[in-house]
Amino acid sequence: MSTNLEDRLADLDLRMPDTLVPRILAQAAQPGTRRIQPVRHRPRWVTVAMAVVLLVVVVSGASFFAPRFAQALADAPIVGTAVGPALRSVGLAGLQGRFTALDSRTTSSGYTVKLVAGYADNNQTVLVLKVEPPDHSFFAQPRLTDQFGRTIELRGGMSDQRTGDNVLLFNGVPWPDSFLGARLRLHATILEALPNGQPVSGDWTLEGTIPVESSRALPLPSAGNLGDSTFRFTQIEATSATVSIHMEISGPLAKQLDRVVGETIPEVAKPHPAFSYELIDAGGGAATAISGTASTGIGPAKFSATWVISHPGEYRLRIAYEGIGSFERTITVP
Amino acid sequence: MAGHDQLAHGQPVEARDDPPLTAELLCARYAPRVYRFAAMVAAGDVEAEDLAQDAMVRAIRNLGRFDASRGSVETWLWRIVVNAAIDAGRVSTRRRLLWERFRSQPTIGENVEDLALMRITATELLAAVRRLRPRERGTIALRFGAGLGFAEVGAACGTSPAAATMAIRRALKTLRILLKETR
Repeated sequence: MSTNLEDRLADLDLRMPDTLVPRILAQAAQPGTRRIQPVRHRPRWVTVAMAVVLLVVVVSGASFFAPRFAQALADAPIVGTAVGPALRSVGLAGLQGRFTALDSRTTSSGYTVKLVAGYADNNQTVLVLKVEPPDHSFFAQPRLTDQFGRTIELRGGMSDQRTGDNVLLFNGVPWPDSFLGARLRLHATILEALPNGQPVSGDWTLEGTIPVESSRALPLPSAGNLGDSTFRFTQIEATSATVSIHMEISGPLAKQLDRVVGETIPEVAKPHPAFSYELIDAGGGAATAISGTASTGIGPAKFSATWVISHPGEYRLRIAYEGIGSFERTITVP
Repeated sequence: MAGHDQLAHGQPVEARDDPPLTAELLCARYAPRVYRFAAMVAAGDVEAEDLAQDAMVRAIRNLGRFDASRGSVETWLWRIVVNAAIDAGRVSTRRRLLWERFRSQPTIGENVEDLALMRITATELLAAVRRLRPRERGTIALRFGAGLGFAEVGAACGTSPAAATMAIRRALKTLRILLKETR
């Protein structure tokens, strides 16, 4: 092995996946489409069987509350490239092949909002919207409800003021949507303005039905200690696209999870959280974190985080607290 | 566009190279190097595939517009690839460009033996490259991922060969710092 950095860089084994060139040629052969994404093809006999079962068991109105079955019949397309750039800009590229295309639009006060696509699992719901004209965003207190009228809390999102792409991240849909599918309704009365701009009032209501990616519980690793604090895993679950961990933290660090350390040095450094968490795949690449939330109060603090993963396998979970130490646990996603 | 229909079905396009470039030939010649570039520039493997695919499709769809009198296929291709990388890395404010002016770096020793590279795995090295700033990552990826010379890196980035050389040196310095921190 060479000890020369430049030789080591040139010798890095970065082999192109065999499937890439066929995908490139296939996409280039399709004028007007930007990309072919992997689509979850359901065997035709499965769709037929589900349709037969539906015809037997369905009762009037049932599909409203159990949209997953209606979804199976509709065989709604999975979105690929339409949402790709928007998702990439918020680090959710790994999810883009799993989105369901939606086509709900509404116009009020001169602003058209379109619900383009959605993804949901037990831990998060992601909606992609387009606002036209793009100089306002959909962040001013939108309310998302499911078919039972329950509100799903907004966590955050991204607005691209050039294209009008908005990506909104909400909590996961509650039971029983998680196996019935979610019939979602998004409502807002204000569009948020760019800096120095004026908000726009109106009435925008959008609706869409999306299947909910099922998740499975994974074995819990042993607890870890950082100084005098204990980090105990309470739940770990995975879908085909995400891994979520839930922990309880007891000890002195439980009250200091939001502590910020470091100083501001222009162009060089800025303060950063002392508590950090990373999920690293077997190749050493860090998975993209969708969310990380901590709640403190009386008793242990609770912490949850979710990452997008691209493949099953072994992942290293690294928990660290600056100045105290770190520990790692292995999570195997089957 | 009729041009890329024809290309995708394997019909040749007039270009300076012999034999004439088709989509298949372009992929055979350049896709592995484009992927190496993307693997160093992108944040992860999924994003790398995304970027390589996007860049190659752009090139194929624009093959009909390639003008051999304005430069080589390779120069033309790498500009497309770099632009694809810029688009992929563009932030939502659209103000900060990937290829911003060079960042000044602290000076450190050049002795690569100090780095104890024997102990650094390929995975750690790639992870360190991916932690570089976009500009630094881009120059490293063009030089060592795509295997371009200094002049070609400059052409791809729209800078002079001398500026590209300096940029690569600075990126290597930063990478050494990161690797030292890794150990």
